[in-house]
Amino acid sequence: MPVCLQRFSTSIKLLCGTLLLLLCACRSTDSAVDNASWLFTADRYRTLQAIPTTLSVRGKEMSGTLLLKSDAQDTLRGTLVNETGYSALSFTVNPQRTQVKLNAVLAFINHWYIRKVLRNDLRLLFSTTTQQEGLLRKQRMVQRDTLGNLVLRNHRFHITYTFQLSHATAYDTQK
Amino acid sequence: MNMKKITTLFLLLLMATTLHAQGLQPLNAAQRKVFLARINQKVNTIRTLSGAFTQVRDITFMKEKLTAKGRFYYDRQNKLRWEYLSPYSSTFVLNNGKAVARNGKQNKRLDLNSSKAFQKIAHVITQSITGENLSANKQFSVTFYRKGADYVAVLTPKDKNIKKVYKEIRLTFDDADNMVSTVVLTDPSGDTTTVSLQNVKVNASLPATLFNID
Repeated sequence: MPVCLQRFSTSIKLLCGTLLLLLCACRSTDSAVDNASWLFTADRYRTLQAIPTTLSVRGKEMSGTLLLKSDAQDTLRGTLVNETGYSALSFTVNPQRTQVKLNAVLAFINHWYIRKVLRNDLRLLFSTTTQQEGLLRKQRMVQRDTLGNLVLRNHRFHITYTFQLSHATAYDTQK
Repeated sequence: MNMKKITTLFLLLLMATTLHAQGLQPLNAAQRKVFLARINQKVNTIRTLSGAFTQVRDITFMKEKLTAKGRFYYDRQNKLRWEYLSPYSSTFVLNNGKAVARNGKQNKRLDLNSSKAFQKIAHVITQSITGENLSANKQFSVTFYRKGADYVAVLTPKDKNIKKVYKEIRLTFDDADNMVSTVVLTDPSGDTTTVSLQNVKVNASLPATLFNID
């Protein structure tokens, strides 16, 4: 085999080895994010919780209650309910916290670009770990305010979600 | 008979079967006239309403029925206080085009006049409590039924803004006092919110502070 081909083959082997190592490292990081590290742990929401919530978009505010519950498979289901009785949006977050599905969105805000922003914001919120609190990620930040509320700020679209976790209440449910 | 006619006939048959299954008997023109006269007569005497409510929200995708309880206060001068007492404390006050939501530690003031849609929704909510404007309604098409001893008005939105929020509003009137006893709100996704009004007092004196939005 010519020398140049030998060198090329060695380089490919090295590259493959490095990629394999990186992949292993990523897998171990993923597995390190266990249920207990998320800010919204599945265990905490086995019983449906009602969390007073405020959504502010470019200065305009909407308040309501976020109803959140996790099932036996750790899938999170949530719905944001307005005081006047209607549901503004409802969503499902997969157990790995990598996917958010919007099940229903109020017609006033049901546009593909709004759905995209909401989906990305919710995915970031529910995949945020305690270690990532206060870190700027993808132009968004999840942090506590002075009142102890959990706040997600989307700096790009000027959207702020405020969750009064300390006022969350277990809901009386009947199947 | 063409396919369109067969489909229409099938849908009508299905609708009739569904209504019959719910125990709803449509009112004829004469019955409707008598019923509306009774309701309008009652509505005209109402200045204030107050009482307790139980709200059951059936959220199909969460497979849950959520029950909340509270108190309500209504004043004919476009004022409403809707106060949740359990499982959590939350208050919503409507007062002449302005609203405030008190949830947890926060007070959120909303100016309904800035949004026609919210104005209409607020109007629908206050009207649903008394059952007024059933006869001349530009925002809904209304059909009337008899259910056992009670009467049911089914309101289907015609207004595009209301349609976005409610698919149907169903008011049940108690035959004994011609007052709304239950309101069922169905949203476009099919979820329902059933509000039952209890111990309703008519024309009790209500302090103005109840409707304070500051």
